Amino acid sequence: MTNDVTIDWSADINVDDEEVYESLLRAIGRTEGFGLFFVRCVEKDRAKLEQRLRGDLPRFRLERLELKEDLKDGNLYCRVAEVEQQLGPLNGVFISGLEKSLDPYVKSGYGGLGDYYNKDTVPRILGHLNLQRERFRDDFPFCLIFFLSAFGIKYIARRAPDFFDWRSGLFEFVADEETLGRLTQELWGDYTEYLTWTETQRLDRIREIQALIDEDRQTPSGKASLFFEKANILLASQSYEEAIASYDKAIELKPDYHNTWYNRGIALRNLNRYEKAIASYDKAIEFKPDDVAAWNNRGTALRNLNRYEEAIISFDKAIKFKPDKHNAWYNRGITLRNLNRYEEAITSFDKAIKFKPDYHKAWFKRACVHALQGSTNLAFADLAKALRLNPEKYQKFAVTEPDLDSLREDPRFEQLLGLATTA
Amino acid sequence: MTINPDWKKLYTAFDPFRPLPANDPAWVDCASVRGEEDILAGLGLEIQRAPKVTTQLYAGHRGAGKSTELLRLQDDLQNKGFRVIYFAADDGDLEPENTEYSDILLACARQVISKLRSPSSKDDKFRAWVDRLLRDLRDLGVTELSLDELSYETPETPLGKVSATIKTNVSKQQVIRRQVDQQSDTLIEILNEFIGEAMGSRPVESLVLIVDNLDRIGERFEGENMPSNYEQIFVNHSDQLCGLNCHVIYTVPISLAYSCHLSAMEERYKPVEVLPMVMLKNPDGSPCDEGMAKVMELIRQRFKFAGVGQALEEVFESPEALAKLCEMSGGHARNLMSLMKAALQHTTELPIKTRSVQRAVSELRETYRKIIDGHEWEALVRVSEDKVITDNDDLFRSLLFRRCILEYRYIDSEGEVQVWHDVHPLVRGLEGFKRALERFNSGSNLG
Repeated sequence: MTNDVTIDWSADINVDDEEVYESLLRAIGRTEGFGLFFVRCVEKDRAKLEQRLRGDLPRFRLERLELKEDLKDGNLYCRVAEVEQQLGPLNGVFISGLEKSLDPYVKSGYGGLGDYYNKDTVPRILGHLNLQRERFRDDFPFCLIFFLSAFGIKYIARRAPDFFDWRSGLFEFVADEETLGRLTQELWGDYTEYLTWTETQRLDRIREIQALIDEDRQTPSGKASLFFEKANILLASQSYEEAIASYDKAIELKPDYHNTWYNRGIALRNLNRYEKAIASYDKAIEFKPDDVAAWNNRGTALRNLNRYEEAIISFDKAIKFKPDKHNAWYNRGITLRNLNRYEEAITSFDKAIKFKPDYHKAWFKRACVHALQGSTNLAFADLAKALRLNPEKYQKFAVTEPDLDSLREDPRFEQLLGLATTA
Repeated sequence: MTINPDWKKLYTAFDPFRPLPANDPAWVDCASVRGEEDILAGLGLEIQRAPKVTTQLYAGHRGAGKSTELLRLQDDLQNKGFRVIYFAADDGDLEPENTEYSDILLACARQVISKLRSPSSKDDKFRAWVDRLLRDLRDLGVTELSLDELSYETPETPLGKVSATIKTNVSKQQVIRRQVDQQSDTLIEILNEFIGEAMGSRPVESLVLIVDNLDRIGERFEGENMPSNYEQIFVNHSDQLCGLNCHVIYTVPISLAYSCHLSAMEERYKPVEVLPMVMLKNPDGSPCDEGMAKVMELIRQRFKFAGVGQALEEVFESPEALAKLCEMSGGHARNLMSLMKAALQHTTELPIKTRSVQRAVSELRETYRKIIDGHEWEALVRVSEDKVITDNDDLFRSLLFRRCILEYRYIDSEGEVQVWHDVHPLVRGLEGFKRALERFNSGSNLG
């Protein structure tokens, strides 16, 4: 008996998954007619759990309703009614995928902008659930078993309080650190791959990431890595503001990861916020002094602010750490040209071309500087090369580029362009 | 000793989603620990005594027992010779994302028509109203509602169609609503005439319309310093809400009772009637034995209903477990049911183990953790210290709405109703609260 020990009723009771399962099994087994169950578990465990319940409740007819996409009309009632209509009398339906209908409402929140749990609009599906609960109770004499992520449960508790309030039980299978660590790593991806994804693929992944972020036993560094991934996906979606908010979250948890600062700088640059981008690149460099990409992009941001001298110092740093960084050489060349330091510009383009012989931009820009210097022969030679590498682009550019004005009177100009056309 | 109850029956007895029907033996009179709030004496007596029709608002925490009380009132008034139309607005009536006044009017009109209409009723005026609405809408470019397609079998059909179009046609929604709004006064006139005819020789004062579920409308703010949709509905449209020629009771969210426009509303409506929690503690923190006894009685009745013959004390492993289960409900009916249901889920055979109750408490506390934000702890500590909330503060109203703050009432020695507030007892066990309380006690915060 526990009588002689004082119980601390404000202390939480630790239960293992097996105990949670036993309770869930008893709860469904003892339900007669309508019942509303919320089961939180990580996605990959759902099938196993379903199977086990089916095995342990052999006389129960348990069906599945998997919501594959966002319910535009928000009407879950109809979907459940269809299941019953098609399959006849049943004892329970496992419902998963409800979170998909929350996407349009929480997308910005996914990035961490504002608080997505407290937005003024109630997602349509949740508004319906709040108002439809009597119809669910009166029309469905069976158990509705919702499989949800930690995020989904939290969202519903907040935004569909009337529906959630009618639950017969909430069963939380809380993933342990090791499992979470594994699942978290599985979601680490590649930015260039994100670029090839459809918007739906990206949202699906963001939802998976969100689910793991909200897990109780997620570690700060795991969480930081997930915010970083989420931000990269948002960056690929060109949702820059949201991406920045998510990078900020990652930084809050792990301030010394240079890539977060660097990518954040890219997002800021894409919004033309160069000053801020530079500050972000500076942080990346603070944590990784030889971050070549950060030095290079810092340079271009400075150039965009017409701070050419500083830009050149940045490019020099990039080159110092990676002497064959062709685009740093190229950028350096452009900047020097802007300072009318033609000789040095040409030397820079020479380097760029040396390390990347098919670097047509460098060929073209070197042509421009040669033209400005009056080295017509060299200019035509470079222009010819650029036109060979990318005729479409440079036919247009050759006609409009003011730096090439001095070449246009020359008969070779027409000839070259004509050749390119026929080529 | 083990007892083997009918688990299914016992389990059903604690379903959190069934308001008790009137005269159910499981109903327990808790008025004495709810500040003598008795719906029959409050809303009910007002209806019986008022010389003219009244419009009253009924508020309370979600799950406090409002629907149960309204069903009792319906029964009581019917026994006293009133005709009562009770309806719970659902998603057929209200647009779930943004409910507006016009939705409520159309829902009320449909209900009144369908409940009072007889074969001899004349529908001409409703037809004329709908015709005009549709004509005007067509002039405004709304072609989705066509005159030819609408069936006039009964007048509620076209009204229902209008409601449905408001819900499904997001782009035309506002145009339709504006138009319904503009013509609302005429619709109310026609309804009133219809009510008069339908009641025949009986006075309209003997008809009561109860509109339940309006407390489920979520509060929305269009922008900073803009009135919320609650205020749009209950303040800006109070003339229309009060315009029906019969007694009307609307349920409203408890947070509305603390809106700055409350005073403005009381000129139109009677004071908002609030169903408070069952008091389990006195404001000074001492236990309220009477309240505890009532809550235990609620549980006892349900065990009885399930055919469990044992005394309540035998059903729990320890008296402490039973007492704590009651205490942790905060005197809130549905929380109490949820805790009981959870404790039963963790139980293979009776009696219910103390650990099972601990688990149930721990789990329900967890749901509070999910709905409270970091910046709210200090406000909660303040309420737990002062036992009052600041009127018209959105934070407190929102915490009331989420049941993190509960409202209690009692009658003081002068016979006056005293209202006080406290944080939900489960909130006290949350880490964030404990930390904020420590900060408060060390005086380092809360300037």
